[in-house]
Amino acid sequence: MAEKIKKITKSFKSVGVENILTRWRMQKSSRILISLLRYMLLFSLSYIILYPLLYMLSNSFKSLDQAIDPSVVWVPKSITLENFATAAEGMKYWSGLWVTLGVNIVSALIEVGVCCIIGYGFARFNFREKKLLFALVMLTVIIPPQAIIAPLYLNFRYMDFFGLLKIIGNIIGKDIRLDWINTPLTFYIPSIFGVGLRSGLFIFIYRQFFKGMPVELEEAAYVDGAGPFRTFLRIMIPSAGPALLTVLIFSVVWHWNDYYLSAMLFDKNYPLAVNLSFIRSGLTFDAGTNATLIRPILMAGCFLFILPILIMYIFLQRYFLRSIERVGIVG
Amino acid sequence: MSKKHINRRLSFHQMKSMYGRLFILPWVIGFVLFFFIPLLQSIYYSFADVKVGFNGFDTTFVGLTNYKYVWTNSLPFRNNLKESLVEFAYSLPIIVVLSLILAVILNQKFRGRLVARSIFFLPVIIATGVVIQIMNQDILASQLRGGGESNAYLYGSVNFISMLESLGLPQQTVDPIIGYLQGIFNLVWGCGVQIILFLAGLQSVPDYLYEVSEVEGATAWENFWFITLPMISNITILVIIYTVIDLFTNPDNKIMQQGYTMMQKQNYNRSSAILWSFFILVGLIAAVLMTVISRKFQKKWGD
Repeated sequence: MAEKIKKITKSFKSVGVENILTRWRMQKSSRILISLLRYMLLFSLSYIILYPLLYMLSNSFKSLDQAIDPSVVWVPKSITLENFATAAEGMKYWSGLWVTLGVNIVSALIEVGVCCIIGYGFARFNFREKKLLFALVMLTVIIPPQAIIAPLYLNFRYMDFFGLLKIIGNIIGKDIRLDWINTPLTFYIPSIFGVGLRSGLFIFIYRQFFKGMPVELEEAAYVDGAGPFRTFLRIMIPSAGPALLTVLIFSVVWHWNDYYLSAMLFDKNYPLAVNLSFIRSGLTFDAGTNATLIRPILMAGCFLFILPILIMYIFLQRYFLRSIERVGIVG
Repeated sequence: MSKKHINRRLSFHQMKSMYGRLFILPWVIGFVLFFFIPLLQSIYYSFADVKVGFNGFDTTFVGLTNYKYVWTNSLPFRNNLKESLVEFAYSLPIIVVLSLILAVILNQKFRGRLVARSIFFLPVIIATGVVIQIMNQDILASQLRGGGESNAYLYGSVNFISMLESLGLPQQTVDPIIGYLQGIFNLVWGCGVQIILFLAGLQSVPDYLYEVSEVEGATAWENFWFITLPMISNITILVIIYTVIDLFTNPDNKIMQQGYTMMQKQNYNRSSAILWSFFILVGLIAAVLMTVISRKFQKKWGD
């Protein structure tokens, strides 16, 4: 870092000290232009980002006859909540929500805690294998879950703890292998061991955060006779707020939106994200392929799906923005 | 310092490293059981015939048969591969540059910065494969001709399409334009995490560098090229890697969908062969990109 800064300060000389005064004047007039351009760019891109949301919102309140009516573009003439009821029924909203909360969100919370411990271990302790192990953590970030999902699925389907239960079963002549598919264990157990959904990335974030914290606090605790676990719980966790919040939001959001793993590891009682993808087949009336007729219901379904996470974001948004600045992912 | 004292200090360090191992022990177990072994199994499946019966599954080694099948007989695989590589080739630079520009802008102090930030982080929160899929399908269904009864299009409004047509553009050119507009939507929505990473990187650049350069009379443009960019070179590499992986493992990716449908048909061996051919390709691309970029960074600014 220090060398880099030195190099950069050296490169100023190539820029040269020119007439500062003229530059200053130029900057002032161009500053207005730049801020104008900035607002234009931000505004147009915000439009792109917000458009689908407004589209979703506008369409989900339209009744069927207004969806066909070409004179209704954005604001429906009358508001109906019927679409939400139909969509909730089509995507089995409440049972799906229950599964999402009980499986995915619990797994996310486990992940937030476990990755914190592991990240701290990588940040503050020195041992010979550390570099290799951390390289392996980065490997889990790079290799996507799709690469290992097939054996993972088969291992969970016939869970025999890598041959152990099979051998015992052969001896006592009974199949005692477990079937973990459709149980929350397929999410809980990897999370408990720090290899859950995108855990590698979270370990990385925690590690960078703890590396950036001053060591003096911990040293003081060690001098006072506290062990590493006590120090971690009493000193590090209370000051790890920004990192915990960042990881919490990412983990909850990614678990909430997870479609791939949930669709593979469950074959009934799906979480919400999977239910949403089946919403067309869950509808009781047949709209066929007519996009206009089915649109209000699809949009209502999408809106119902993102609503809880949107509410969470609105509440946590201010802290989230601030904590991202403090986490210092770069290190 | 007595010898005894040194001994005690050494043992304290040894104790500490034992504690360190204890902290990461759960991860080591999890890595072996739920990542490494499945990884090896998955590689083995791609070289094997996997038969799932009532009583578990059997595997027999068949060599390169699966790969041969996938590369020679399975036409959709090669088409999908071409499609996702083309998409990747234009998406990667656009996403990286766009998110860098946005992060630089969002890092400046201006009125409404917090509002702008919370809008630009929205994609991180709600960019979900399923919602985007439904939106895209909906738009596709209404935008393809014959959906003329619709009143609201996403981006390509009726007026816009008829405007393009009144310019004398044939339908063959109008459709791709609408397609590109749709592409912009996907690209902007794919920028969320990258903006956050870049923002975090920009926050770590010490202010005094900019103060020094102001005294020296550098312009904002020079600031960007001589301070900002070299200081965030590491995060740029991270962003590029993240984007490569994100683009390829997106559930919308055609190859991923093909592998997924094959897996649902319990065709584990061919699905593994498809995914592994794809991952090796992705890995090669990522490795080449990484070495080229990091070498370029090193040549220019050193590290």
